[in-house]
Amino acid sequence: MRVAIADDSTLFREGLALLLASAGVEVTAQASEPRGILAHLKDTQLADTQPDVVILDMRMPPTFTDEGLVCAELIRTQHPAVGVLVLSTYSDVHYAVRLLGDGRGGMGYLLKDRVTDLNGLLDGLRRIADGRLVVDEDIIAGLLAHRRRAEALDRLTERERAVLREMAEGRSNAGIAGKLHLASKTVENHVASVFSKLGMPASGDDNRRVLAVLAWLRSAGGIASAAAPGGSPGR
Amino acid sequence: MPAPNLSLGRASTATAGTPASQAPGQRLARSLTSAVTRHRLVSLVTAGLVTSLLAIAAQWPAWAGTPFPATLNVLVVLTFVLTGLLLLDEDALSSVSWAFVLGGLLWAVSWTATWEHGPSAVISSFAYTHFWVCLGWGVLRYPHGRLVGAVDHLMVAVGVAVIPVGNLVLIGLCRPETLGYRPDVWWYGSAIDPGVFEVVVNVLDGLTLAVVVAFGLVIGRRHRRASALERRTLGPVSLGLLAAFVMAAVVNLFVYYPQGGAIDPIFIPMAATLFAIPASFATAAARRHLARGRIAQLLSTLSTPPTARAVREVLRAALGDESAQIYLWVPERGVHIDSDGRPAIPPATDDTLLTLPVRTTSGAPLAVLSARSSLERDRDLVDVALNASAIVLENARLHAMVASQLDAVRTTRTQLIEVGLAERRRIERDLHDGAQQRLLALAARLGLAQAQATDEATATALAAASADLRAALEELRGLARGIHPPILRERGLKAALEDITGPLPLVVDLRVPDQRFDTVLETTAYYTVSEALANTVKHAEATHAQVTVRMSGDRLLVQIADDGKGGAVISESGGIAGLGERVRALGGEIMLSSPPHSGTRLTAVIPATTH
Repeated sequence: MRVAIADDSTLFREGLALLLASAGVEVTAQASEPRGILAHLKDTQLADTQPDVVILDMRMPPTFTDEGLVCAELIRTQHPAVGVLVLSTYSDVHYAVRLLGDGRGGMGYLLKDRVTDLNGLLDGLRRIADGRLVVDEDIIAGLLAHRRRAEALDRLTERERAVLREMAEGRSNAGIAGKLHLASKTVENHVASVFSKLGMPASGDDNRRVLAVLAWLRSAGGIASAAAPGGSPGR
Repeated sequence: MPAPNLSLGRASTATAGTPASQAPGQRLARSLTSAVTRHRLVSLVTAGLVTSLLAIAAQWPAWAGTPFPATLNVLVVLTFVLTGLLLLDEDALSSVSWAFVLGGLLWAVSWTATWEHGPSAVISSFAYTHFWVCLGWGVLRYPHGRLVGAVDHLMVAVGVAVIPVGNLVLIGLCRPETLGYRPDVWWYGSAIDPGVFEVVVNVLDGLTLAVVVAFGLVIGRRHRRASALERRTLGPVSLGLLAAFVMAAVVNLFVYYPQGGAIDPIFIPMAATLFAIPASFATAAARRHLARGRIAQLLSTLSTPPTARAVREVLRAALGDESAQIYLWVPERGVHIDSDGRPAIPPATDDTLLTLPVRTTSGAPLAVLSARSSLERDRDLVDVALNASAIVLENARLHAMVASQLDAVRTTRTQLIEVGLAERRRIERDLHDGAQQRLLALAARLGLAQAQATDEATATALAAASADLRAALEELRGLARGIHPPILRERGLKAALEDITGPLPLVVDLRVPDQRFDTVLETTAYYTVSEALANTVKHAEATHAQVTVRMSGDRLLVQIADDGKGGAVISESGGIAGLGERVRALGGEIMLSSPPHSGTRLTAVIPATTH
């Protein structure tokens, strides 16, 4: 697998590159800001050596707010075949939803802390390269912890809640089965049960399913308006 | 008003007095002025009687044949003398008033020609020519009280050379009958060649006309340079005088001087024109009095509390100078402030600017007025205006001082808050860019070491270190969020409040608009809500809370209400008290309503226009 990294912190960027290289991931480029990575994608486009996934820091120059997101959106339109993983120091559900927005897959949003778990990180990268969506467990935990959702979630069994969590993080049925050590058939049953108990529209497409779950989690919290992309931080 | 005999005697001397030379003349004029103004009625009656008798006597032979122009002459003389005396205590006009008194007397004497006896012809023509020079000199002395500049001096010198001296020369070159006098009057001249004499006469006539035209130009120039205030008085005076001068120059073309036992009817329109001169001065004086009244009236209409700017506008209107400025002296700060309350240094007096100090009733420095230098000549009026406005200005200064102190305090407090907030944002950024990234890099290296570890013990130790590091990162993230939540900076109040209210163990109903506010406003509102909700969670035993943020006019209203047990108070060292201070520093207010068993409601109102 080929990966390119953009992060303004040299220390972290190089640490991450070393870590990935040790696992046999080829790091094709490193950049300290979005422009460098966009140039790299352009250069490698025809040579067929484009990275499979680009890892972007959320806060980069010049404003140190949502450059990672903006860059991800550019890559999405200019290089649809390239997956994007945005790493962030803070978890922010609004940014996650904005990033995963169109449900086309190949996108991920993880806390930078995940570098302590190499296998988890590699798993995320592979899923993104496979065109799936990846959402950090911290965000899902935050959404599940919301008081407003407690009542509805109380109707789920513990196992069903675990399945819901994995769905929200972007795993397929097979992925969930592997992670929770369940048979695929069992997972399918749990998924169907969750959908019917929460009144969510069932979806065969895993990526659409992630968005539906996220949307439900957020709207049940009475914060539906936050799903609207209105987050350009004016100042 | 009865007056002692002594002063009556002095006053009558005054009417007959003639300023001989400059310095003693001025001294005499000053003492006469004070005598006349002290006993005005007596002086006026006495002067009126004496000058009337003089005028009647001077043209005695003409009464039989031409009583009308003779009466007119008496009135001209009376008007000049009485107007002059009346204007004596009008500061800017006193320089002219003595010229009027003297002019009136000269006009009377000029009619001695009607006696046709002895030196009457010479005396008459001497007085008549000096009458005109005297009027011109008087007007040129206005409004400085003396002649200023080479042009003025030259004007008077040429006037004297052409008119009275020219006349003396003329007398020396002919016999009395040549000029229309009786041949047997006393005369010092002897006839020269009639042709040459004719030329001399024509030359002098031309020069006289030229002097009148030049005088008109000088007066016109002065009018253009005068201040608006001066023009009000200079205007009518100049016009009246010019009219009389033109008339005299025209008359001069036909008849030389008063002569013969009867008065030539051509002097009737001239005498009538002469009335215009004292009349115009009286008008000018009246206008000055009106201006004073106007200042007083304008000042009395000032709003309360008065502002320095309002006083400045009144002074501008009263002084007719739109460039006038007021600089209030603020002793506490040791500076002057302008009408807008900004520190300023009053300009120094120079060619174009006049700066005058204004003092309080106790004599302490209060303000400085700067105005066009031409107002120097209207100092009396300016002083009246400044005296009248001093008390209002003192009031305005007090008001401005309190306002500016309050302003300074507010600014400082707001700045302190802003600095504090900026510092918090900086620390968060530093944490993010420094410690957090460093630890994350360490995490990556630990991950690498873990992946490469071959023996069990090392792998276990590295896993434990990794877990510790994750906990440290979590703590650091919490700390940075507490110092300044990045979500507030990046996505605003609503998103930040959603972020903190989500995990709380009670249902929070957020009614917060999507819009972005000023950073200080957003941060203050954010901490108000988070502090209030933290208190709710800790003490209120509430199940529901409602957070409302909305604009109310130009203020941001932040309200946190819960359904808990109430009875909350603002403890002095508590977080709410600190918040209250912060909100008040921004010019806002914080209110707590927490009756027992009825929930708690904290309301903060913060001005949205502090920056």
